[in-house]
Amino acid sequence: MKTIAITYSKGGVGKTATAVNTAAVLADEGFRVLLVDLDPQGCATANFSVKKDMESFPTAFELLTGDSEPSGAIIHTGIKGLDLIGAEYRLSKINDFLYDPEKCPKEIAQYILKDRLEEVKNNYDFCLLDCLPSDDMIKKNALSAANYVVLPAIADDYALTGLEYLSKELAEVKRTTNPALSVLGVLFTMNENTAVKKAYTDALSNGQNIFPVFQQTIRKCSKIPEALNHQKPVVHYRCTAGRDYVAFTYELLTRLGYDNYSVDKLKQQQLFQPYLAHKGRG
Amino acid sequence: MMAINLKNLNKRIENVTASGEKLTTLAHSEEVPTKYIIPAQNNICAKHDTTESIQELADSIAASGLIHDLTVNKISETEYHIISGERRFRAVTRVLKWETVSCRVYEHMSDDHAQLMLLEANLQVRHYSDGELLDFYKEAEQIIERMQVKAPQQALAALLGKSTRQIRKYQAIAETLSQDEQRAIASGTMSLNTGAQLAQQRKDKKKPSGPKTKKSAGKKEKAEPIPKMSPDSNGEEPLPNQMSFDGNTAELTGAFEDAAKEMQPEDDIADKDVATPAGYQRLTHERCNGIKTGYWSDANKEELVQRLAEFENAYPSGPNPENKKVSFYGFKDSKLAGIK
Repeated sequence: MKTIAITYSKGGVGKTATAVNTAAVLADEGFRVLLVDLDPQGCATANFSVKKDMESFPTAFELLTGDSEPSGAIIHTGIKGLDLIGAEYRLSKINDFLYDPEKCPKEIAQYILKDRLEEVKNNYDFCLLDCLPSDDMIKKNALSAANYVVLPAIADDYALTGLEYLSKELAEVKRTTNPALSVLGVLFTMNENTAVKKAYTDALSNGQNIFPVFQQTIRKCSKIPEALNHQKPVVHYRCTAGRDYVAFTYELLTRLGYDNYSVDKLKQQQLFQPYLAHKGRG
Repeated sequence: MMAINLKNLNKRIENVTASGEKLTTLAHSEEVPTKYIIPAQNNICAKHDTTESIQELADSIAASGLIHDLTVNKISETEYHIISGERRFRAVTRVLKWETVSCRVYEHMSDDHAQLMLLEANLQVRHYSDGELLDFYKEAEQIIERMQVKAPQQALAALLGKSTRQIRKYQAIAETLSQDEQRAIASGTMSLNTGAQLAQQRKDKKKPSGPKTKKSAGKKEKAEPIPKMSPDSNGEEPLPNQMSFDGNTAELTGAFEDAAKEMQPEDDIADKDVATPAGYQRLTHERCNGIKTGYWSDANKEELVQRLAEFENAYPSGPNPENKKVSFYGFKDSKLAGIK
């Protein structure tokens, strides 16, 4: 199981949309995917029409406290191959548990999630962690458990501030809890054809090589809130963002060493528009 | 619409790179499939490796295991460039046919940084001759220039484990000598010091005036730019052709060429007017700027002592002070000249 943390130090950059849609495309491609919502607001959970009562059903909170087995907290979404561990308001209290040395020894507080996910690692090909921007114990757990990070960002000056912050944060994680953590790349979301966004995209793509930048960007698209309203991933809509997320996931798979997911091939075969038909959903 | 402040943007990117550098210096251990490992494109350290030496290393690895991991720069999940361990890599892939190998993995390190690490790693574990180090110097010098290191000579000296003076020799050779001559030095057929002397002589020929002349000429330059081209060797008094100079460039060029002819390399021991006993072949290296270079074997030292004795017998009162102005440490026109 490859664990990918979708994280950034700034909010509102499309972390959840990226996590949900990447997970959906991966599942559509036949991979077994587990999406873990680590945001107490439960935004990723809200993307799916979950019939369970999250106030009583085990969530990421119970997963971390050990009150529930990982398999007990898993919800099958409507999408074949995509499972979810949800989040609810009580996850915001998890720091009380993780910082309490009587309940959770300090030495292992950052490794709890990694340890819990070990139990399901043979059941999934990918585990996507939708993180909060804040630098708390939940995020530390996510970064300790992940093999890779994907960094969604909007191409503006805040992106650079965020990267400066992240480079320090990731260096600390690599130095302490997770030396093998690897940055897969920066994904520009809500992209528009403006001079400023183009300048920032170009500058980050060509001006540095510490944070690789995904060639594929996600264009700003009105279908994203619409999809959310219908509790469906936007990749199941015929729209720009949907197509972009498909192409991004292909690029991600290529970066991970999967040979058959060339973006060029995807474009050549014109699988974008009839992506749903291609996947038998049209 | 206001234009984008690119200067500000580039500054911010520089900040990101500077804070991100920390990430590239942190390594972790990983078992990497050998099919994803690519040897460095320009590994000057590996050019002396032979099939036998690799077989020997493979035997050792087969017997004792791989004691030191390879060091690699991870470009992507399927591309790892070797920083250090090309011989080990060849041994485990070509001979032992390993499918994975344990590596210390750095990520997204810049090519220059990785190449510098490759040089450093090899310089730390193997001994290279002065001639071989010339190749290292040339490679490292370019990288350090690109990386805009603040004190490049010191950095190169630290990297190569040499003094800054030695680095200046390499610099003179790399800048002045032809490719063939540099190859001769690298292969050991010409000594580094001979090369450095040759380079210095050529530099001297290009610069017709000595350091002092340059200084005094520089002072005069503002009021009277002409004496800069003067063949005057002491810089104190202008020569007659300068005084009579009336703007005729041909005359000036002539004077310049004469000066160049006069500026043949001088050796303050074997001066032209001191007779050298016939039939002798010179044992010492030609002096370059009065600096002694090279080393003598015991046999050569004995031979030199004998020759000195013969010289003293032939010239009991020493060199004629009228003909010969011997300077302290051989620097002609030095303020220290004449001090014993």
